[in-house]
Amino acid sequence: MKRLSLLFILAVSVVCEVCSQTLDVRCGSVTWRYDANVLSAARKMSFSAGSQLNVGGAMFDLAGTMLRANPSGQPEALTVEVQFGDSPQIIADGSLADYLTCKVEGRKVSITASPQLTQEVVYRLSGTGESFTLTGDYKSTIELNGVTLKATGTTPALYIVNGKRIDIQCAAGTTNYFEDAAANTAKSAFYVKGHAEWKGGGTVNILGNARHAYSSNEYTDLKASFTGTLNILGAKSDGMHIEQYLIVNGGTVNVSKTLGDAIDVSYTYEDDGVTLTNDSLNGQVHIKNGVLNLTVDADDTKALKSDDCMLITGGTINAVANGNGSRGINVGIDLTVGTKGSTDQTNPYIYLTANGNTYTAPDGDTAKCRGIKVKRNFYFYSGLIKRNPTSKVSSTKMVDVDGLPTVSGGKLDGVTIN
Amino acid sequence: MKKAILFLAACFCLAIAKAESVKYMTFQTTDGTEHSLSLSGGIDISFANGELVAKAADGEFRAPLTEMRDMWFAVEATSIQEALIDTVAEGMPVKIVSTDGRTKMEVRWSQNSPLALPAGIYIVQAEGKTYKVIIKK
Repeated sequence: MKRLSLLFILAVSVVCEVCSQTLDVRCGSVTWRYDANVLSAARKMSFSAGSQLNVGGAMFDLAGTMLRANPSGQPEALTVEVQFGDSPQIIADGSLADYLTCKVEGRKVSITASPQLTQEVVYRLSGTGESFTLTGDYKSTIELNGVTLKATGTTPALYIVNGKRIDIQCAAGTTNYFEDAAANTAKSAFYVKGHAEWKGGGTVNILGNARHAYSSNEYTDLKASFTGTLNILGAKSDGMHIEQYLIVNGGTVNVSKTLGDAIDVSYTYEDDGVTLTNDSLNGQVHIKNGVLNLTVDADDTKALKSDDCMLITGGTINAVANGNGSRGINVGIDLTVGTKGSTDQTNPYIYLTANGNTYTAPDGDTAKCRGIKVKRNFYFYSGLIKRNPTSKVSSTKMVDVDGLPTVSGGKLDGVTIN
Repeated sequence: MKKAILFLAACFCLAIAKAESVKYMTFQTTDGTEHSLSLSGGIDISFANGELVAKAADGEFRAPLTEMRDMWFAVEATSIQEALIDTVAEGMPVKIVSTDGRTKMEVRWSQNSPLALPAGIYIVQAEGKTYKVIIKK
């Protein structure tokens, strides 16, 4: 039976390959690719007044349009391929022609999805260009497939104006680069309005020349399937500015050369700007796995900051606070490290370096450099918290807890909780 | 035995699927005339100066845009010439049979000699291969 199944699969593959034909409808830089066999089922492409052609329900102006019927090939379903270059090219599944408006201006590409779109589309980006803007209302996937975008104007290099779940799929083995201009009026060089979920095995480098390097208006989740590396190469403000919450369950994040925090996770608010959004994780950080290498050199900054609670149950955090008044880890409410009942003294692993002095703000307020600063209670159940022995901040001042510290397991190496 | 029958049935379905894949693009003008071009080498279609120009390996089709009605992908060609033009060598014997099995014509194939037949479905045999052709008038 197994042999028959294999033969069948092979036969299907061969037949599919043989049977595939496509129709490319090329309108300037945009090519809509149709499956000829699907089109043939609908039968007719009708001309209208000698100036328009209806292909699969979408009307195309004939002026400036060219068609190519290919004897082989197959459109990739629900996929838009954006190939950047001096003349960016877009190749899109023809079934999306009625739902997407694609615009190419020089080396910039923008795509607007209509509210009627109710299927998830994959936007695959490659090549070198200026910026990519996606506007829409339905969950989407952005596949980074070796793309370099250096924006020159007022928009981010990658600008996802969509409040839904956005998968950031980093193609394995690829390196991707995003940099905005100082004139960028948005929050960051790499901006996601919605929920960003990172997956894949590629490398992403981001440089923020205006404000933050990376930002998401709602949660950011580095999934367990994210095995790649996110490098924040620098920012005029935060390296990663995340609202709602941050979950890290995989991958490596390196942040340095920021003038603000390396990673800042803030509360998200209702439209009135005052009422906290009703979400049990609002303002929190959960580190379950992965590696965070975070360095802050500027005064009064934090390597890893949460407005609300922080829960670290796995992974490695290497937090370096070099600026005056800076903190390696700064928690707005409670900090929990490890798992209750666990006897593990190695994971999670937090390595702290604190080299700054006291910072005095213009209004006279002061902030002291610390490895960890917790505004309320600290629960240490398992894992290892270690002080870099070259730190200028002493062992007794490395961890500063305003509330009650509870230590029931784990190992403190060179650290005394104050 | 049962597994083998299932496998054969699946292969049969595949064969049908393969047989139904499109091979031509057919253009229809407002007077009802149809013209097919083979997809085998690809077809480039442009619209300029008020004219549709379709170029394929087996020929070309031109028509004023104002006279174009429809175009579509087709499994069969709309003339015997279109079915055979890039597949049968010049001078080879061609046999045309109606669906009830009667031989309608036996000729030597020539691209330049139209094979005039009334509208209908025909089986064309040439060079050991068989083609189904639908002729519309």
